[in-house]
Amino acid sequence: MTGIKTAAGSVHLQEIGQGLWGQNPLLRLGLGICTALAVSGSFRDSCYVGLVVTLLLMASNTVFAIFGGKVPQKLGLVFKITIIASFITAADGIMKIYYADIHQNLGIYLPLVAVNGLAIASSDAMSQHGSVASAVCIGLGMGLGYSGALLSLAIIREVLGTGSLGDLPVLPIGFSRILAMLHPSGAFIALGLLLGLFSFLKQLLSPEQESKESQI
Amino acid sequence: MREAETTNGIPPYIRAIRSTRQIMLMVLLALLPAVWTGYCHFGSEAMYHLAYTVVTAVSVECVCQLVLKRPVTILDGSAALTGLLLGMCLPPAAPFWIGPAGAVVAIVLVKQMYGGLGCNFVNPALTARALLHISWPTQMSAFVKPYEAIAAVTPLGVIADYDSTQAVPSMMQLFNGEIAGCIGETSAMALMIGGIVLIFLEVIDYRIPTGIMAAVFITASLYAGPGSSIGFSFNNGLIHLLSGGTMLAAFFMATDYVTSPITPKARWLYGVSIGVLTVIIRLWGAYPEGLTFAILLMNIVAPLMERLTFPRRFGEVR
Repeated sequence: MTGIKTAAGSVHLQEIGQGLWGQNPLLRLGLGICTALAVSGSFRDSCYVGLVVTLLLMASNTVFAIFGGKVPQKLGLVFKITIIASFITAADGIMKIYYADIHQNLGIYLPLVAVNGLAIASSDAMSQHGSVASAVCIGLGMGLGYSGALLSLAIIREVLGTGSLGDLPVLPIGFSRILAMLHPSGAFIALGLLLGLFSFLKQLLSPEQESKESQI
Repeated sequence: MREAETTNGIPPYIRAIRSTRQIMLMVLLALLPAVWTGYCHFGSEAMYHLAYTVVTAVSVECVCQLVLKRPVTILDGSAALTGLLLGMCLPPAAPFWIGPAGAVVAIVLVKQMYGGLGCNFVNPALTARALLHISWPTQMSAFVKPYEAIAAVTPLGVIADYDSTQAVPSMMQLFNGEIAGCIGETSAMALMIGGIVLIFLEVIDYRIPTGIMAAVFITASLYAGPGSSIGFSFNNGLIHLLSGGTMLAAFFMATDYVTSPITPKARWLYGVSIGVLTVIIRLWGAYPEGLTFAILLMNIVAPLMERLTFPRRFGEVR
């Protein structure tokens, strides 16, 4: 944020973009890996988890922006975790009622989002006295960044592991599907390759920024 | 250049007498008897597998090093050795692309991505084998009877399924390798010849293979069969020792310089742990062959074993 006065809209866009690219939770900050590894074997499950995480981050950031200033510093973390856990429990309950089959697939990994650093990091990304709008934008950006990374991981794993995406056949019938991609080992390999690719692309697009970051 | 002559380089300063290339060449030559028995038992199709895998491994290494702008070191033989070892643990009737696919995994994912020769933390050939097993279980168990192309079950498969209709082959057949199995794994005799030559040439350390074989033999002997009490079955121990990949892995895979520990005590510990784990996975695991997973697991633990057994300096208190 330099001295040049920018329109509020472009600031918000920048905040969203930060979560998508520079501060991507999964590929840049390494947050939410446990959930990502567990659910990315299925594209459909990943869609739901991405949606839930995005909504969660937006909702919890809104609450933090409104009430965050009134909570004593000492209780800050307790407050945040309570809010996040409440939202995720609500999301879990809603999914259990309306999307029972997907809830079955996700199992423990949806409630587990509450205890990984994803939501905390997203709340830390906003400034102390930021507006509600900017808090929502940061949450949206991080949520979309996480969903994007999760979905790309899921596409790689599901296409290579089953030869099709959902019901849509992608690879030719003669292709011998790589079962390992659906196993945890394949999840780690695919995530590692994706992380490497992301860092490579980032370095390729903005080499000077990268070197500055590594100096810090 | 001049600077390099006047200042000390990076330690250690004692040079080994043998170069990487010489060592790799010796190991490759030591594998030849096993390759030959593979040819005798499974015919020229088996040799195509080996050729595809070796050629893919070497060319992929070359491409990788060119892309990463590293010096091209395909002539040191390490990629060829990885390819040959991987090819030797393929079943003879596997589809032709399975070896090359494994070679790409071994060289690109396991070796070059971690920094090339000497930087990988697990054995490339074994990791590729494990991934092939997980990915294509049916293709990776396309075993045939020796001398004829009839589908067959390996002795370990027979033991794992407790299938009493299938006879476990005789000890002599196991020793000569006239059994269904992977291309280069069946003949315990040929592998032992190569391995013992390597031990006498001091290319590999006797501690690791001895530890593995002793542990496999003793652990397997103690287990007499499902439901029976603990006894001692000399026969069981010998079957586990001579079948599957025990010999190949004990002499040629577990002794990989990069991924095995260096202190003598740690080598004993490493060998014995592999042996015990192998039999446990074989008898109670989901896969009939447990050696791959046992060695990979111990590869990861090897640095800890080294730390545990590293000699103390005089007066040092831990």
